Amino acid sequence: MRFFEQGAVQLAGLVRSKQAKAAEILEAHIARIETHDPLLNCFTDRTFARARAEAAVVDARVAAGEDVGPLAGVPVAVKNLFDVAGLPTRAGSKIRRTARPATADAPVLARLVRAGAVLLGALNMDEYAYGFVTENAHDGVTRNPHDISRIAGGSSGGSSAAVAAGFAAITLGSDTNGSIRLPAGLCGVFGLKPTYGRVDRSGTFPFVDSFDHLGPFARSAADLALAYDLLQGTDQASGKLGRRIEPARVAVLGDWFEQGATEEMLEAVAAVARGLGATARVTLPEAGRARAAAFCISAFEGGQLHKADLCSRPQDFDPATRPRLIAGALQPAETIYQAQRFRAWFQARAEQIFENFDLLLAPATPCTAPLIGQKTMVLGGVEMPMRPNLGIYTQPISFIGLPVVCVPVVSAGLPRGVQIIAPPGREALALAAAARLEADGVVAAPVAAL
Amino acid sequence: MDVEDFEPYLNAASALIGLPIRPEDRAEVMAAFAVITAQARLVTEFHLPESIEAAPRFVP
Repeated sequence: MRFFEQGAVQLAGLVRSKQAKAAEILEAHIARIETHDPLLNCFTDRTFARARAEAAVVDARVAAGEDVGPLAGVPVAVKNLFDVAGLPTRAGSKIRRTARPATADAPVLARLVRAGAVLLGALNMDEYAYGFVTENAHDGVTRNPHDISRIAGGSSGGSSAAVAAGFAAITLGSDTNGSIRLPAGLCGVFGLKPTYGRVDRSGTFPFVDSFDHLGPFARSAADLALAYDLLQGTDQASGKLGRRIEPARVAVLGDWFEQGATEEMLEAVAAVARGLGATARVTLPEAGRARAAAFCISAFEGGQLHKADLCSRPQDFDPATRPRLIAGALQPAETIYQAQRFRAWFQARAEQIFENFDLLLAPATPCTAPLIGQKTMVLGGVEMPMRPNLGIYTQPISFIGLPVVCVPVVSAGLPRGVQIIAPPGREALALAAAARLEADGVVAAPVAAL
Repeated sequence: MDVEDFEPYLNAASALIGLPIRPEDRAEVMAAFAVITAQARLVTEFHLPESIEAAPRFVP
């Protein structure tokens, strides 16, 4: 048995039933990381000494007959904007790598550790989470485990690639405009962006307060649901994964969410629709303007957040981030005010759709993973800049805080992710749909062959 | 509008809020601002009923 191919539920089961030790599971993952991460570049900080100490505690507690928790001995890792005790929370930046080390883990990480997880380290990302590529000027590019010439996506690229590569069974990331869903889709793993406000963001470095969410990556719907259950505590999805999905209450999003998508991405959405028995199609009106509003608000809030450093030490920013933050901070108030008003209008349109439907389907990205360094992409026959346009299907959804599970559709070639979008507060339904699709072989997230 | 058309606004806004633009960043900031402005136009040109209030916080 190769431990790095097992999911969190399986690994914890082995440890709790004394069929395997947390220490040996950990060493298998460390060996995998040491062999392959020099090329993939997922980790910016390795906390292997801490992980070994945590695994030893787990093994001792299991030997003593204690119930260690549902993540007993499961290796996890976090995007480097999560506080990790003893590490500066660099958030992908050069500026913050000399920040005072965190004195405690972020509360969400602490929840995983209390459930028995062992922390392998912190993961690469776009600087200050402002990007979709994880081509970080300070920490290098994270490569896609399914094709190392291609990006992992971003901004949580280290988190998605680490799960795809078998470095960790569960990782945590953040999603402001698509930064969980987009890299999950490009790397062929499951990702969950919960409802806005569902998961405690304290102990993490912000990007856009209006849109920031935290969530998990995993290689199965069950692992994703377990992580979700542990990250909060008021909603429990794991026990509801077998619930029935009513086909008539599922619809494919048309219009904006099809325009520009490649044929293979539309095929992936169709495969998920078939898997759920869905035949309906619905339009979420003015989604393009929603994307535009999210674009402007993100640039503004991000720029304002970093204004002091943009003034005093602009040379220390990633060249790909700096001009967008400066331009964003200089926007007129009219744009931000009208964008926030539009948000209320757009949210009401989504609520109307959810009167008739429970789940909406859309591609996670317009195409499969672009090449590292690629500048442009073809959207609907038109050549467009690649970086700002990878998130055109994710931005309108996070703009109004809806929960989304990104599922990896079984297909030849590069991974294809599809968003399963639910009404606010109904993460469990989207997770149940993911579990149903997985059971039927429509979606899967095997460890990449390296 | 051409990218250069934004320069007077950017100069004024930069001075007003105290966020300088270094000469070596100017071209890329102007290009980024042009992209933002194109997106902003999609928002500001859309007529919203007067009853619509701003929603800076998501409330389910």
